[in-house]
Amino acid sequence: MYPRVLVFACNWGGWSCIETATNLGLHYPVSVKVVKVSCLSRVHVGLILKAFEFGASGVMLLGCEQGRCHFSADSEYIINEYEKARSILETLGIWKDRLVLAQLPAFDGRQFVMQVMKLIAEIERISTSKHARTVEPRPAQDIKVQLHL
Amino acid sequence: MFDLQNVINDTRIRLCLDCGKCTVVCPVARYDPEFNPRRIVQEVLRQNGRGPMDEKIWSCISCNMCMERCNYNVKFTDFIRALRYKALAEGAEIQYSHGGAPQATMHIMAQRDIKQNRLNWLPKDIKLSKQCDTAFFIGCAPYFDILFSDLGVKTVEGSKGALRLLNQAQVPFTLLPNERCCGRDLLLSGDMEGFLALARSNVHEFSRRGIKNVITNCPECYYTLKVDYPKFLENWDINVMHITEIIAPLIESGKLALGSLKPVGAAALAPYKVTYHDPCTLGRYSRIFDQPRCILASIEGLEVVEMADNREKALCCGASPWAHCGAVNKQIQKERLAQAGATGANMLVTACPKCQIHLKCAQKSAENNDVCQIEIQDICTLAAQSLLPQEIS
Amino acid sequence: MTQEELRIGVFVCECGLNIAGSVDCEDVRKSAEELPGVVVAVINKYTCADPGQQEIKRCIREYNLNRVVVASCTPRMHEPTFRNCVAEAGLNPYLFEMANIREQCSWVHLHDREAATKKAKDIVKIAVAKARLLQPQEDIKIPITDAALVIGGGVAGIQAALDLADAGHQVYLVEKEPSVGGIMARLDKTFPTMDCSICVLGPKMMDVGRHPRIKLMTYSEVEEVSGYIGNFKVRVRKKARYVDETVCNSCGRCAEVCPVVMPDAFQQGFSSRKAAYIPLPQAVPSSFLIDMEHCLGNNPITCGKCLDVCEKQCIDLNMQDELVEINVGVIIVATGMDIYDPTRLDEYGYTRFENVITTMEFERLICGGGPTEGKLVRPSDRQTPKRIGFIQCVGSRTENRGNPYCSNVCCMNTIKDSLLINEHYPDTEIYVFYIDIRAYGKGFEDLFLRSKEAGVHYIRGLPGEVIEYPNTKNLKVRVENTTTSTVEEYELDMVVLSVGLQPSDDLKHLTNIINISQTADGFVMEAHPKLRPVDAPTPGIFFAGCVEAPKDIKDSVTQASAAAARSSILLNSGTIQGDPIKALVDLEKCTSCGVCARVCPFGAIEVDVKAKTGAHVITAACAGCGACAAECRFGAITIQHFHDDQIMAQISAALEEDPEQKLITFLCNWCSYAAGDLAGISRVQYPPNNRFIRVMCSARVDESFIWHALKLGAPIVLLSGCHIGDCHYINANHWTMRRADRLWNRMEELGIRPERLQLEWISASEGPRFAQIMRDLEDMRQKVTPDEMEHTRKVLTAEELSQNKEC
Repeated sequence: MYPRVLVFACNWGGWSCIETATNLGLHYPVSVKVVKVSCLSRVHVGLILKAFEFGASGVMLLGCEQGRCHFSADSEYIINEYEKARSILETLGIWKDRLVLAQLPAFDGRQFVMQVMKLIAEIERISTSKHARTVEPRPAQDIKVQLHL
Repeated sequence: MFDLQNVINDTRIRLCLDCGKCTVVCPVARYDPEFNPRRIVQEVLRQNGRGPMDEKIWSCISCNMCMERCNYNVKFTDFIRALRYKALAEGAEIQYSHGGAPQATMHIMAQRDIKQNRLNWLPKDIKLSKQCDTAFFIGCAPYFDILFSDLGVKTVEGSKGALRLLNQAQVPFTLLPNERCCGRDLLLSGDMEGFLALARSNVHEFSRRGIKNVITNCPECYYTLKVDYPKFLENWDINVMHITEIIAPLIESGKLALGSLKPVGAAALAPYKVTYHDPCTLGRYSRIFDQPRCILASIEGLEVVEMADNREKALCCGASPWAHCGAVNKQIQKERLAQAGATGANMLVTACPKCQIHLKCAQKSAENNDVCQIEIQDICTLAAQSLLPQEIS
Repeated sequence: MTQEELRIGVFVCECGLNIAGSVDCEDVRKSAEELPGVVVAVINKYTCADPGQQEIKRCIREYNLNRVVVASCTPRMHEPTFRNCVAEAGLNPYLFEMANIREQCSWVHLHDREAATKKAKDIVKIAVAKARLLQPQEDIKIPITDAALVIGGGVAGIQAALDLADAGHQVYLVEKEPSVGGIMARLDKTFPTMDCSICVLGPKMMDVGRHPRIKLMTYSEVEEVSGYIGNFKVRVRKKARYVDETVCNSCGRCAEVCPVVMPDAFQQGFSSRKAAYIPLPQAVPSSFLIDMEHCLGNNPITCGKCLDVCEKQCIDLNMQDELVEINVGVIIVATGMDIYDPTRLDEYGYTRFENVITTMEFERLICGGGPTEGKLVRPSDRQTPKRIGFIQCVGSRTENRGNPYCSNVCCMNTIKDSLLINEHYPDTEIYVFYIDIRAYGKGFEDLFLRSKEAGVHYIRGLPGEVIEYPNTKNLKVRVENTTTSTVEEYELDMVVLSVGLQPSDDLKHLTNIINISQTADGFVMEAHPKLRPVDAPTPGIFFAGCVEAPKDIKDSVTQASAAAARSSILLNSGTIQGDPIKALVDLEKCTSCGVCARVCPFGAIEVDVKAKTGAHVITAACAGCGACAAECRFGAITIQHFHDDQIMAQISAALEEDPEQKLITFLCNWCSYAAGDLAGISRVQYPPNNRFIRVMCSARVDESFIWHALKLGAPIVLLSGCHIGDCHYINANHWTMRRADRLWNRMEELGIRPERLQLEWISASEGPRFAQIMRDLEDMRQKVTPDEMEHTRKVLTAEELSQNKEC
């Protein structure tokens, strides 16, 4: 059982890496799910944390190489959000290396798979150590609520 | 289980005289003519719970100004909360602000086996009493400072100030490295499961550490722990106090003396004017109006001036539970800041970290500078600063 | 009387088939005959009818009966009938007892003839047991002083005083202000007739002032009241006016020269008066007085200008307060009310904004005798306001900084005011902000229509805030028009707050002097809100006017006349007759501990704890509830006709045979017993195991009665009375509650299950509930084991022995 990893991939540089990986027949676990976004600037702290809330053991932000953003958006925004999210995770006691930012050259499928596997290895390492906790998925409607006012 | 009849009985909305005073004094209604608290009450009574839920129930900012004026003390904010819970149960969705980051943080925080690092900011010189049964409840300050770092808010300074005051007053306390968010924002937005998860984790933590008393500097945490926790939890009997409730009596009886904040330069000739903003949960909800003023008055070099709407009728800071925040909230914030500016004060002092965040957010988002950019500061920070040799320019 | 001398006659009624249908009356008659002391037992078809009554009288003569028991319907129906009957035959009417075998037996056990008959026999046995111990009693007669005290000289007090004086009685009218007239004298016009208020009141004030039988004491207060109905002793303090009111001719020269200027309270502070002043031109008595608190001084005399100019030489700066002692037979309390002060509603800005005034202030402004001689001007700039708003329900119908009740008159008052403005200044725009318009009385709706036709705007919604424009001092009123659900803003020149009425501050002080109490809303408590609205629970005291509740002038006058009429009944009769159910003190046993005096709801017992002279019962004031008798630790008080011995005998008789089958129930006469009767009338069935013991009040039931019942083997005992707050004897049932707590505690200590003593509050209308309780008790009874009862018997016998040893 591989840990669940969510990859936010930008439609351009990021997605190209994933397609390349598929075309090259490179394998990575099925527990890695990909969410396509138009640009990594679309991804904010809330989305990252929600991924962890809903049960991701790791999150990767996969986008265009620095300076090569398809929309010429400064990657300052995503770096900001990434730093913020890591701070929050650290304060929450969740190992911050569960969140990685991979700004890769386009079509670099191999690099992508390497990064993903590195992330998975890191997750597995810390699951067994006593420092970090695995985040459980948010329980669904199993708390009976008595509405007192 | 949500039972509309129970809600109607408990909140006394049948006693509504249909007079409309609530609508007149409601800050949301002032800027959004579609929002009418009286009509929401009447429509629910007429429809008896059937029919589509009014979208407008999400606009209420829970400031309690309506309850302040209502002849029969109809518990409108509790009613709105219940309606929101019902709406969520029927499939409505909360429109999260800030991308839902605060709520996601709270949901993760609620989990029982988490081990937070929320005390990294703690200065070395703060004295803790290890075996104490009194805890200082920090609240979400460490998280807010990360999430709203681009606003320049440092709510943790308020916590530090409070701890320094307690040390100065020689009040022993300990800190809980794994306390959770009090859950008020989830409670207000109708997310009962989220709230209860946080609450139960907090109860677990407190009982594990043998805590009998809690002091906090956040009025929302104060009210939630003191009033809402006993309502919704079975075994909560902890004594909760706000920092001003402890510091003010010590100042009045002479056991604690604050220092001075003397202005320098050209400002030295005139006293430094500050105006105090009553947070809704400290003021209207908890009726603590005098203690913060007493603290400010005892700092030498400060002159306290009052805003037009103060104490029981203080205008809300335009707060929201990090959800459904919009143009109306901004306008309320703008009005409040304008009132502060009109007093001629140099600084707006408040006792609530959320008020600081919301007002600063309004200041920052003003593109054409028509929002008063008065300096905003926390009362504990200010009071603690006065204890060190300090000068303000 | 010894047992041998007792000659008891028992008359069993068939009541047609009402009793005979479910009870074997012959069987009951036969068993009655065998009871000790009974010399004759007779059956009648209809005992209350003439033949039945004749039979009773015949038997009394023939058999020389000295006690009579009639077993028929409820005493609440025919006790007076039969008492008169035996009295006519020459027997003391209090030597008669009734056994209720209809409402509480035959009608509720229609389907079990054997059990109903057995119960009827027991009921007769219980009645005979009491009858054996009855003593002859006389109705008490108390003489009444033919004089009345009316406290309060407003329109209600004036009306009551005039009615009583015209009826031929001496009246003392005490008013704390220097002139009579009250609030009505300060009004301009009255609704719905639009009469000038002082014009219609003035002649009445004059009448009061010169009526030969009314002694008017103004500027006076009642200081102490003692006594009881027919014989009240009152001490009144006449405050010094420093002017001889019989000589002063109101020339006014003293006021002209007086240097001290004060705000004139009569003109609501809009104009001023001097320290030497007359409260209003039409004052009765028509005399000036000196406000010594603000005069420059009389000891030594600092100024003395008034002395110089008074041509009548009637100023005496050395005058002292005078204490007057009067004796009266009745007291009418007509002290009126206060007006709500809206200062604390800071959202309306009263006292912060000059042009926000109250309706009382408005009355003075528009009144011809007011500070502006009737020209309606607004306070800030003396301009005539062109846009005026009235805010209704200020201080009323709210739990938030006000009073929860509706003040009755404010709606009509505003309608009247709007018409006054329209009359004098037709161009004025008038807005009335309301929640409901209450125009319930005669001519009221008419006035409302006139107001609407005159163009007054009625906007449904209460303003949330009033803001002042600093330059013009105009006011902005923000209100949600609930009809259109929009928030509207009105700029007005003047805002009038329609303030409510509230109980006067002095009332609390008065309740300490006179035995009257206040209800939750602060007004005085009537004996019964529907059927006795002008009587106080304490006999001899009556209410009139707004002291009882907010009301308009018509209702005040009506109530005043009602109070006068009811006072007249007492004063005309010369004596009052009371039943002999009164407390009786055994001075040998009394230790003057004072408990009885504390417990009495009517203040009818006096005890000098220090002098140790024993408790003294004021027979006239005693209502016979029995709380004192039950609370007395020394057995020194009992109640005539409901003697401890008699009740104990009833309990013993009830439990003589098969006690484990029976439920002993103590029922209070006014509520629980009536509920039992109602259950019977409604034919609601319940099990026949209960045996009822009637007392006047549940507070009568002594702890020893309960112990006696339990010791004799009663499985369950029920103690029942009126609901708390509804007790016929004001609050005597509170003592019942406390006694029950004590009993339960003791039962637990003794190892007796406390559930075996039940306490229920049953009102007279709760017939079906009464039956349900009887059923529930029967279920409980079946769970009580013989072992338990045996254990109880042993424990209580030992307890009694140890107590007897101590004595």
